[in-house]
Amino acid sequence: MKLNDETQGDTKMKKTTMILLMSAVSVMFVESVRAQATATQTLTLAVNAVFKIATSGNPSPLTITTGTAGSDNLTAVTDNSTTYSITQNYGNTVKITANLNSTLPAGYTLKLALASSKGTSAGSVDISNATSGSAVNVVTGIQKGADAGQSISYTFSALASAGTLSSSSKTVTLTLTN
Amino acid sequence: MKKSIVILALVAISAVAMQSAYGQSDVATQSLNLAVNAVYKIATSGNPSALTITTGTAGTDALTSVSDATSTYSITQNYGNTVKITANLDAALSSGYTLQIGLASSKGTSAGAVDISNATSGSAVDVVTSIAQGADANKAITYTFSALASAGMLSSTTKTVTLTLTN
Repeated sequence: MKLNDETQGDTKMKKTTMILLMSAVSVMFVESVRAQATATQTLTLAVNAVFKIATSGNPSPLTITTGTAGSDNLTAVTDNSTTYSITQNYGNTVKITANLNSTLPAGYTLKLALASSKGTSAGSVDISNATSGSAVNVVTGIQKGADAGQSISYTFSALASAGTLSSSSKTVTLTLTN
Repeated sequence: MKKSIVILALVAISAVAMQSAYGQSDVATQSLNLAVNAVYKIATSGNPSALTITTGTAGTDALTSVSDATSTYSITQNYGNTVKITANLDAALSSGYTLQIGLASSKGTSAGAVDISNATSGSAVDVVTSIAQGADANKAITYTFSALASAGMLSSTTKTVTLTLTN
């Protein structure tokens, strides 16, 4: 009887030891699973205002060579061989203005039209008298983003009464601005 | 006769002493419990420079991205050979802005440039995997920040990147 009691006591002791061991293993396992280390860095990010505009090149010479008998308006010539591209992230009220480096003499007219898929084209705009201080809008309400390969159309016209015009170079400035 | 007795007695004592010296031995033992716990350590050299986009190409919505590779990280771990580093931001970036991070590694496999723009604490992404036990010091951290023009400008904003060394 006493021997049996001792055996039962031993069994209880073994069970307790086993439970304690299992608990210890569990704790170790949880600790092991959760083990990790961290490091942090602080980054400062910013995107400044970006305004970019470029053209594909220069248009062909615009040379008026003919007219209609009885009409002072000679036959205008047009060039659609060039394009422009823009990228801007400033806002949705950006525009493109155009101006010449110097005005044309009276009787000569140069018009410019810029196509646009991100803004509103003003259509064919007379820039004959637009200089740096009086640039005219050619595209308005341009949305943020990029607009690539949009056509530029020049139309040059003249009155016969204005006389001939020797080959003359003019610089057209397109400005992407807010 | 007395001298002889004294000499004999001295010889006997010496013999007993010598026997005692040769006949005794003793040892002591100690039980030591040794352990090395799992060690995970990661640190960075500091913060990168400000990442500011300032230009682009006419006709392209993607602005010119900027990069920074001025900071480094170091790690030490003894857990195993399947340890990895994850990265996340404190908050996701707005649509149209992208932040990539690339961690060099000589003890593991770098995932290359990884987009962490939308990685937050609950969705951290792996940047280095299969890191072998040991240390890897002063490995480059490269950040690349890009943006679309259509996303607009972004005022200077601070983001916290957390690198976690974990199993």
